[in-house]
Amino acid sequence: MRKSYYSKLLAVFSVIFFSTQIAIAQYTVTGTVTEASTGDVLVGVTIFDAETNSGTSTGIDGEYSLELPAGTTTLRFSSVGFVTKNIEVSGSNGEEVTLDVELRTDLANLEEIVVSGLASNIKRSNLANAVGTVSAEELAGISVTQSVDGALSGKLSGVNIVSSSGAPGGGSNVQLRGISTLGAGSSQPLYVIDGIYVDNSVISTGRSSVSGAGGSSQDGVASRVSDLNPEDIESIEVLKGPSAAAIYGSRANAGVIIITTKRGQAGETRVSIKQDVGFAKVRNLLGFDKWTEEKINLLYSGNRLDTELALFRQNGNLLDYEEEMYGETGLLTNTQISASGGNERTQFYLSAGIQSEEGIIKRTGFDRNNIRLNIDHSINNNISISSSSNYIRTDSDRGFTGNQNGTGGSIGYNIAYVPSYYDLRPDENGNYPNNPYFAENPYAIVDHAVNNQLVNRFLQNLNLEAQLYSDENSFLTFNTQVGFDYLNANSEVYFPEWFQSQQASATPGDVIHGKQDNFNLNLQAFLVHNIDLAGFNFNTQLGYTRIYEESNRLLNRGRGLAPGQTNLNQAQVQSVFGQRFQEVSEIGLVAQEEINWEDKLIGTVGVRFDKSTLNANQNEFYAFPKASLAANLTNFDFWSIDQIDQFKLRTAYGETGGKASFGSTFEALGGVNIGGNLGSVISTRAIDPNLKPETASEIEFGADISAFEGKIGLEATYYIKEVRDLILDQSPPASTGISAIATNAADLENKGWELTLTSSPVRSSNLSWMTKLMYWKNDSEITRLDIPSFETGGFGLSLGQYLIREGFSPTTIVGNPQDPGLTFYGNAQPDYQMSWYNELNFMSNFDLSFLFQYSKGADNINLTSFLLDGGGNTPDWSDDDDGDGTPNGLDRGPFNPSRFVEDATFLKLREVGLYYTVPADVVDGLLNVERIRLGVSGSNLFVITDYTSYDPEVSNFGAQPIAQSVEVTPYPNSRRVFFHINLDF
Amino acid sequence: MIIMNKIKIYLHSTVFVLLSVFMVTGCNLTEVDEVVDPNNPSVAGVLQDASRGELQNMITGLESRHRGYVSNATLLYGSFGREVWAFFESDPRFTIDWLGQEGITPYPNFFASGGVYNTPYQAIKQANLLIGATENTSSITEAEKSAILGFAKTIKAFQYLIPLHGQYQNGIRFDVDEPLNPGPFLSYDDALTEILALLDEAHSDLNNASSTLPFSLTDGFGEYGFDSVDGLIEVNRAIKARTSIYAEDWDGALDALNNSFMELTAGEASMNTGVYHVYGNPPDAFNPLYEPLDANTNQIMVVHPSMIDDAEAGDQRVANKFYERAVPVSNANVPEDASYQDARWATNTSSIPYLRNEELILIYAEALAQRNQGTDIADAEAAVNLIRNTWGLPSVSLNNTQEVIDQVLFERRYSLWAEGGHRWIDARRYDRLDEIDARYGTVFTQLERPTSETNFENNN
Repeated sequence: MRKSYYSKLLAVFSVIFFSTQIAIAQYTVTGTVTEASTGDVLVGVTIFDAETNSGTSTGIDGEYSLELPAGTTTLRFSSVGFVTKNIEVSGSNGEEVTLDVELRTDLANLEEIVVSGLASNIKRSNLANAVGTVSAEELAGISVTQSVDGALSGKLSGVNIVSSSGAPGGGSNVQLRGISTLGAGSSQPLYVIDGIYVDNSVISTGRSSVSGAGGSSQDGVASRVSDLNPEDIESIEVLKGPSAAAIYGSRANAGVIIITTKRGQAGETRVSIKQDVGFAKVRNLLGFDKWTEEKINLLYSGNRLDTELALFRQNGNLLDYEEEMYGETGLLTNTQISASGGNERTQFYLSAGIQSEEGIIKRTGFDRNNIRLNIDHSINNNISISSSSNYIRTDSDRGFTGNQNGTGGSIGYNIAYVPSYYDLRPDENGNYPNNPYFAENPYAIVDHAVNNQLVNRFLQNLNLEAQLYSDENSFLTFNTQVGFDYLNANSEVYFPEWFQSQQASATPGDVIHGKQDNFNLNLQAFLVHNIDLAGFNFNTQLGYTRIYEESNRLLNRGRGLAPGQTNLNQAQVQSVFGQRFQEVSEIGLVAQEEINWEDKLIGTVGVRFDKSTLNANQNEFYAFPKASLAANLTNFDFWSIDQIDQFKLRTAYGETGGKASFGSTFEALGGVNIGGNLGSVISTRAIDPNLKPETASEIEFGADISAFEGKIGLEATYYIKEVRDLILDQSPPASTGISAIATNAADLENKGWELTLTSSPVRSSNLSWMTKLMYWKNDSEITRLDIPSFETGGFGLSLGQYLIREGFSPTTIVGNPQDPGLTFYGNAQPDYQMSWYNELNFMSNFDLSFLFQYSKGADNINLTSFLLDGGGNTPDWSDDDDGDGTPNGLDRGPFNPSRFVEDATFLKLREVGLYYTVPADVVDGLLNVERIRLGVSGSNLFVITDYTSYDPEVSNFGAQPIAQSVEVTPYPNSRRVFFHINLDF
Repeated sequence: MIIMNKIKIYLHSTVFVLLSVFMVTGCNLTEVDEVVDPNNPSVAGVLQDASRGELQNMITGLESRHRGYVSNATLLYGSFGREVWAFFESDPRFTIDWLGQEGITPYPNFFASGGVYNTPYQAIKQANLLIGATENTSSITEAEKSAILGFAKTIKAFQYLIPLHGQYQNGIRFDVDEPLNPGPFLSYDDALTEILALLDEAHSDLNNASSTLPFSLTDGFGEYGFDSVDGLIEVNRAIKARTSIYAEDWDGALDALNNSFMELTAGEASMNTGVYHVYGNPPDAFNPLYEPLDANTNQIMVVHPSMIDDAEAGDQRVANKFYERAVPVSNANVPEDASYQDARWATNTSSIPYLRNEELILIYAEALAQRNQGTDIADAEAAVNLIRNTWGLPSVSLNNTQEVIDQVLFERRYSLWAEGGHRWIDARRYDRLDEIDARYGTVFTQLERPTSETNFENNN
């Protein structure tokens, strides 16, 4: 039965294939496509003839040529960001028809295609959700960005992205529409690239163990989404909340970021070479306070005082340790080569990238090498397959910054305590003097310590789409896709045996080698049925998804190392530092119905059922429903205001889930060794047998207005996102020996506004200007808490922690004194954020883009200034603000967080880029180049803030749901400047 | 006809889809294979019919939990009693908070104090797991069960003392079996009564035990031959003697000492007879108190200068335990350098004692002096001088309870230095906290009750 079906299909396809090949009577259409208001030629516009299923696209010069069978047909001219045009054309055999076309820029993005289901898309003008999109141009077209997450900063409303470190390779904390978990599930959004669920884990290197910082959250590692090359990306869609993300079910509580990579277009092969060269310099140094005899007298006594004074008299303020450590100029290079092309049946996009970045601390850097091949092939008119393959190799040296304990293994922490008159530089024989002020010589760390992570990664997706049936008003398609993401991470953290801190240990020399394999597999199969009935369009989807993940991590440690050796065999004490296996299996069932009444009313209802082995009940399905309605008032007959192109009211509701972290449903006996015996100890964590996944529900209301042919657009959204049954660790009395039971203990509410105003006030061939102003705010509040209020994150109440209490935002910063209640110091969540994006094109060949971001009212816990006070190095240490004769450094008041909780309001010029396209007549004939584009750009060029440390964006603990605003001597952020040359062939 | 065709095609499509889905998923479409913990055995597995091997693993686990408090108790209680200073420059709270500087008084969840509260209670939890597993198995005999129960309860009783020292008059919970339904707080005195009763219960279990120990213990018990039923009885009684003097039950102390491993013999070997926490290279843990001599570091426990100032000339305990560094250690919050570090550990795998004959002899002297009957004072004097002579100090003459107690407290400072914070506890027992040299700070009486406890009390 199957066989006969296939042979029938095959016969049908052969006929179609054959018939297109032998068409005899043909004519040729040629022409140039230009932008309507500026007259610029448009590259890459797709010209498609639906009748013959043939097409082509415009070249660098905006020209196209297409052979058509004699007769009349309708050609569709479309390109992302432009209003699609359908033009009738006719010709007789052998005729040459010229058809020049002007396309109007789709200023309000009404025609943009946006995801509406796992197997369906929708025009933005019919969308009922506020889905954020970022184009390739906005993402990586202004300057060279380090990572995808960081590159989104300021480009989307409702999104709070905080860079967690200035180290090469990036690393950000991304929160969509406020807080979506209090720590059990992933606080970071789900990333999906070309249908592949991307592994975005943070892979521990063990740095925090070698440096003594504490838990692996202080390893200072970027999450793995930073492996992806931003240059390959065509567009990013962001499903910010459950109302849009419900189709992703139990993984979508923190939102979904859908990435689409560039694909080939039919037509002549286009090659593009992009070379960027730039440099990074530290953006802001604090300027350590100068040392004086007076200060030394205050800080030392007895014999030590005499020694210090003698040294100071001899050396004076000899060294600026900030400049010494953070003063490097990092060379940044980025080479990207891509080729794309193909014919009507098969298109390809091939790219390779080499990105190399040096940091502002010696021997830190980030390299990314990657290659991508995207192929689309139509087997026939009904069946098409596509493949996306991507190999990536990233190599990060992120150095030693942040927290430490006892080892001096953090440069910033270390130099906070070193006075400027002490010379720690190595002598000519390479001997590093001992640091009498701290446990390590910072030069030794910079010159000889290793913190390396090397990731090899392969992502592959295969997609098959088959039209099973179609007639004039209905079709049925089948879509299946399989994607996997395999990554292997190798890390090394190394302190040589001759280090001061190591010499103080019984087994000098410390190395941790880490190995991790992660494998994620996801597959889905969908049936989509579409039918037009009496003015209504019904789109029905039924689908099945399956996800499987496994990971295996091994960290090995060697202590007591042979001189200069890092192999574990050269260690006196060799140990397994940690091994962890993880396995997750999930199944989802999806059903969705979209009903469109003549683009006037568009409604959607859907439901997803998910089960996961991360749940306490591994084989129970949980339901995640959604519903939405959009009303395009302008499409109704009663609408009579012609100046308004679109007036849409929309509302959407959806639910998503968030799961417990792996292991929290197991009651485990841990392994311990003592005196040569192996023992089993009961975990300090107990389980709640009734643990459910977290559920978020969201309702959003919005209006999209576009007027004057899209010259002005407004998008306004208000949402209420409730997260129920948040999984929190209930802390039984410590005396029971159990410190935590993960339980569904709280509800949380996020409410927020997102406003986007776009305008194109000027559009002419000499000057065109597009500007976009965004405003967004989010307020979080815990609305139910079944367990006692508690404090979490940070380093204890005398240094500031976050409060979990009903009626308060979980980002509330509290601390000592407690008399008897806690003292409130601030809130880590910004009051609101704004960004302002501009694109200007002037004198026809110049393009200028810039992006400002403003964040108002977030508070940080600045422990850098706390450490500097202790070391006598705070910039204002010797000043005496209150005039009482005691310098500030010794006069900060009682020992509580009032000293270090600071407002982190900032205005940043995130990115600015100026490009010049060399005129065509100059390029003409030069090395076959069709287009040359030159540019200069910068990121983080300036920041206006009252915050007193390196940068108002901080996160000592990396990507965090709550404890996101603690700073401990981070890797300082740098200012980056690039020169660009792009060649298109 | 058209409709028929449509239906046919739809049917074909559906079959096609289902087949391809089956191909990629195997046959099970809506069931996931249950994931069991790939990293650890489960608790439920040992609570029913635990095997001999599983019981042994839990016993070893208890030995491991048993040593968890050592580092924190030595540093924290040692700092309170000014036996040591915790010169860990990385975090100023080791000095500011612990020494009561800048007006700091104990607050709930006091800085770095979990090791003397949470950790011992985790050992108690482990003991309860072992007790539960032992009572619910048929793989060993009743006499063997008694041996395990006696051991588990003895260690459990010892562990209760550690949080009790910190909480003092706040009292502690004794019944802690159910995480969400613990028993009430008992006052300091009531808690001591319960601990003593538990030790007696353990004692009777051990007396009912099989003649040979049905499990193995580490060298922490084995080195001085306490890895037998009789040996464990002696250890149990020694712990009871210590607990009795806290309860000021002097007769009880003397009675317990009788059946303990106390030996009134001079000499270093006799003094060091006792039970120890053992350490080793990974996967074991290192001795947490070990620091290389003269290590160039500002992260180190140092000897409090009063220990040097108050020492008698020629006291070998000073020479044995305190090492004068080539370069003193300084700390930003203490305006005085520290010249001495701990010299007791030969290597980073040396064992740490938790109850030695030297302490038993001093308990003996103290209890005798307090009982003060017949030859008690003379016997106490002899016991004190036995210690003094061992360490090269001349005998002293002690004529009444007061003199013996004064001398015992002095000897305990040096004999039991940094063995879990005796000095602070002793000074408090005799209301002499004001005698502690509190330079640059203040001396606390007790810690505050941890937040998890008060939260639970307020909500239940």
